[in-house]
Amino acid sequence: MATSKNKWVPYLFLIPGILLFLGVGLYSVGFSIVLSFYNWSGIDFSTARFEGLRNFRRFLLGDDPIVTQNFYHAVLHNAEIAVVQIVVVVPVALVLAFVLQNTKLASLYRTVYFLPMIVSGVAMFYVWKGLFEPSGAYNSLFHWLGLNFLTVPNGMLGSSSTSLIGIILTFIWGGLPGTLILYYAGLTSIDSSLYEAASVDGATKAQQIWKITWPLVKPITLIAVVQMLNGSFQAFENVYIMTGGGPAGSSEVIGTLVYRTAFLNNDYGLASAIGWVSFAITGALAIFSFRSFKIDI
Amino acid sequence: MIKPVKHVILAVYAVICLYPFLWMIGTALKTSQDALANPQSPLPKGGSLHWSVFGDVWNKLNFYRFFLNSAAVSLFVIFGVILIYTLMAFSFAKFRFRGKKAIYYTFIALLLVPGVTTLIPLYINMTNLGLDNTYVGIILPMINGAAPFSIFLFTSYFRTIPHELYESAVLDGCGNFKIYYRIFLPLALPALGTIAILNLIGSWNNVLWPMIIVNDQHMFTLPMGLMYLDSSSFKKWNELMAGALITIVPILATFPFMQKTYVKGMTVGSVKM
Repeated sequence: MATSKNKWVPYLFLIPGILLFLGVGLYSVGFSIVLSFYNWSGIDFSTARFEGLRNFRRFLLGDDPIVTQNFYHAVLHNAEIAVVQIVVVVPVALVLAFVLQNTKLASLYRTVYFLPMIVSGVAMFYVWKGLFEPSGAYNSLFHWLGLNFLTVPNGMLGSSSTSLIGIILTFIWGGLPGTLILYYAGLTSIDSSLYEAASVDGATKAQQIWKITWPLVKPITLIAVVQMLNGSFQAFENVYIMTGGGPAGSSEVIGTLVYRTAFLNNDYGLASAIGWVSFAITGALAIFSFRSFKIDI
Repeated sequence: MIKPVKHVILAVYAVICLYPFLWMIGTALKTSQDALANPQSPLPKGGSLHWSVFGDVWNKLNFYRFFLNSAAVSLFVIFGVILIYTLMAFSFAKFRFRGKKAIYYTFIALLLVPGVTTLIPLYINMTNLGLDNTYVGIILPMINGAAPFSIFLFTSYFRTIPHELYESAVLDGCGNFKIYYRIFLPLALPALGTIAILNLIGSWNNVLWPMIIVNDQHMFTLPMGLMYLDSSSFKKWNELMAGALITIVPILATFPFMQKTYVKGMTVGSVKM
C-alpha cells in the first residue's frame, strides 16, 4: 500500500466512476426516495403532491385494499419462487455433481449442462412459452407417458393455478447449472488422498462425508442460496415475458407490480414506495451475501 | 452406484438441458402453419427445412439493425466498465487515502438496490437530459449497474499483484498512471476477461432498461426485437424462434471461455469467507 506524494492522485483515479455515480446512480436513488412520499402521475414535477407516508399505508396497511392484496400476493409469489427453487436445486445439483464425478464423459456432460445458464434470457423465455402451450411439448410429453394428471389442458401459463409453477420451472432450468458447476468444481478439488488417509485411519464412509466433503460443500451452498434468493426477489424478465403477471395476478411478482404501477398506471409515487420496501426485503436477505463480498482494504 | 443408473440420470438431465434448444431450432425451420398446428413436435413436418425464415427475420423484420444496436451497446458497456472501474480499483488497491472505505462500501452496497426501484427516476433523469432513444442513454445506467461487482473483482485482483512491482516502477521514475496501464492492466488480463464476458451476457440479455428508455424502433436491441415479434397480431412461432436463435448465437460463441470464468469469478468472491 502506498501513500502518494501528491495527496490528490488517489482521487484522480476515482473521478470517472464517481461522476457517473453522481449523475446516474445517486440522483436516481435520491429522487426515488423523494418520489415515494409524493403523489405524482409523471411529466411535470410541479404537479406532484406531498403526501407523507400515504403511499406506504396504501399497500402495506390496507388503505387501498386492492393494492395491499396485490402487494402481499406478489411478495408471497417471490418467496415461493425462492423456496421451491432452493429446495429443488440444492439437492438435485449436489446429487448430479456426485454422479458426474469420475464419469468418463464428464466434460461432455458438463458442457451440455452449462448451456442453459449462459443462454438463459429473453430468447429462452419465449421457447418456454412455446413448450408450455396447451398442445405444446410439456403437455404432449406427459400425455404420451400416460401421466395425464400432470398435464394442464389450458396450458401451464394460461391457468391461474399453474402459471407460477411454469415460472418456477424456468427458474430451475436456468439456475440449476450454476449451482451444479460450483459443486462439481468443489468436489473435484478435494484431494482423493484425503479420503484414502481417512479410510486407512478407520473412518467410515459417513464420517468421511461429514468431515471432509461437507465443510467444502457448505460455503458453496451458501453462495448458491444467496444467489437464488436475490435472483428470486429481483425476478422480472421471465415473468413479464411469459405471463405478464397473469392470469388474474396469479404469477405477479414485486418486479412486475412496480412496473405496472409506474409505467401503465402512472402512479410513480406508489411504485417508488413499493420499490423501496422490496429493497428492504432484498437488503435484509442479502446481509448474508455481504459476508461473501467482504474484503479488507 | 450401479453404472447404468448413473448414465440414465446424467442422460435424462442432458435431454432436459438440450430439448428447449432443439425445439427452438426445429420450430424456426418449420412453415408458420406447421409451427402453429404442431407445436409439440421439434421437427418440421415431412422433414423439409425452411431456411428462408432467417433471411426474412434478418432483412424484412430489421434484425440486422437490432443486432448492430445490441453489439454497439455491449461493446461500449464492456469498454466503459473496464476503463472506469479498473481506474477506481487501482486507487482502492494501491493507495491509502481519506474516505476510501466509505467510498468503496457505498459502491458495493449499490449491489443490493433492485434495478426496478430506481427505474422511474432513472427514466425521468435520462429523458430530461435528452438521452432517450440514444446509445448513451442505454449504456450509462448499464455501466453504473456493473459497478459493484467489477470494482470488487478488480480490487481483489490488483491486490494479488506483488507490491514490489509497484515499488520498483516508482524507483525507475514511473508515474502512477503509467504504472496502471503499463503494468497493472496487462497483468490483470484474466480479470478483465471475466468482467468482459459477464457484461457481454448481462447487457446482451438486458431488456428491462432498453424497453423503458427506447421507443424508436431503429434503436431496438435484439431482445426488444423478439418482444416486438411476439406482440404482432399474428404471432409466427417460426419467425420468433429464428429471431431467438439469432439472439443467442453470439452468447454461444463465448461458451468455451465461460465455464472456467464463471467458476473463477465466483470462487474469488468466496476466498475471504
